[in-house]
Amino acid sequence: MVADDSPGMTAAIRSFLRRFGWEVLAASDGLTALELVRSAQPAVALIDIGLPQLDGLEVARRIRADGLLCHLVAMSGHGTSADRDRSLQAGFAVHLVKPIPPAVLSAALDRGVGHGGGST
Amino acid sequence: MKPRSAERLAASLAHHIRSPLATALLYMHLIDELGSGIDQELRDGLANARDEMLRVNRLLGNLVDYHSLGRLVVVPALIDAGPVAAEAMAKTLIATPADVALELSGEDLVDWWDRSALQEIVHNLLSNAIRHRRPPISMRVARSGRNLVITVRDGGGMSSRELSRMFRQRLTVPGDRTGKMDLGMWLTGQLAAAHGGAATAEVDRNAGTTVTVTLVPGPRQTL
Repeated sequence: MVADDSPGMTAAIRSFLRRFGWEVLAASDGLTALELVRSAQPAVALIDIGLPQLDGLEVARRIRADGLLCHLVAMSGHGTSADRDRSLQAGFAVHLVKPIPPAVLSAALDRGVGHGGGST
Repeated sequence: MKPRSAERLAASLAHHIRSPLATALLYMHLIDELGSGIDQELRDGLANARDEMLRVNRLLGNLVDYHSLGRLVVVPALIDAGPVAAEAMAKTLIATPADVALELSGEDLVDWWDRSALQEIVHNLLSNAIRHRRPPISMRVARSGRNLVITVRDGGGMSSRELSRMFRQRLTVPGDRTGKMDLGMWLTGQLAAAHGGAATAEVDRNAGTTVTVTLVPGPRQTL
């Protein structure tokens, strides 16, 4: 699952992931993202921190509170130690800083599922 | 417009521009990594365009950080400052061709430096010297104790008045009546400060201008 309020970013990531056989769901706000993770239970969720309605950190906290086994990857324009710490404390496994090189994105996804395909 | 309003507007614009920029960069990465049938010339051009866009992204990030935190933010990593400075110089000279002598000290320059800050500092020091001052221009990158010292010397062309406001100028429009200083040198001073160091300049009537940027290694970032 990809959650980003930029349709362009969502389309770019979807286009990239589909080349590697991923099935991709998309959300443009935090509440929809949370509902998608709860209902579809994807293996991986790529979540922008600055989502409207419910920010990415809160989405991660609620997914973790639900006990859902989903590899959570944060995306943000900020990459200081404090930004990374906030993401990890919220329940993300990885914090990626935009712009994200595809190789970095691939590595972050593979860390979660151990292979190059699946549902995100 | 009042200065604070201008800064708020700049920070807001920067925030909004970064989002489409990140999308465009991801597509450029994808074309570069997955695209077939692209010849080397086009691939090089794509890499240059991507580097330029990454630089715009860094500048916008600096504006956002400065507005929200009142300072710039560096994220040091363990890198060799020598090759990074040399590459930044080569790229600057593509955009603004000039003869610049580079001297890398033989010391070990591997330490905790912010790559983007280092690139931006080298670019700003050199492009400012090339555009506004006289040759010969040279750049030296060396250690002073633990610190990294980048020194750019030129053959003159700066007045004492210009020197006094070199790192103080903030948002200006290139070519306006404020003259030869621009956002780049202010940014250089701020990046040096964020890296625990400082930027200084001195003018000698006979020897020209010497601009020195000192960076303190670290702090180490936890991932």
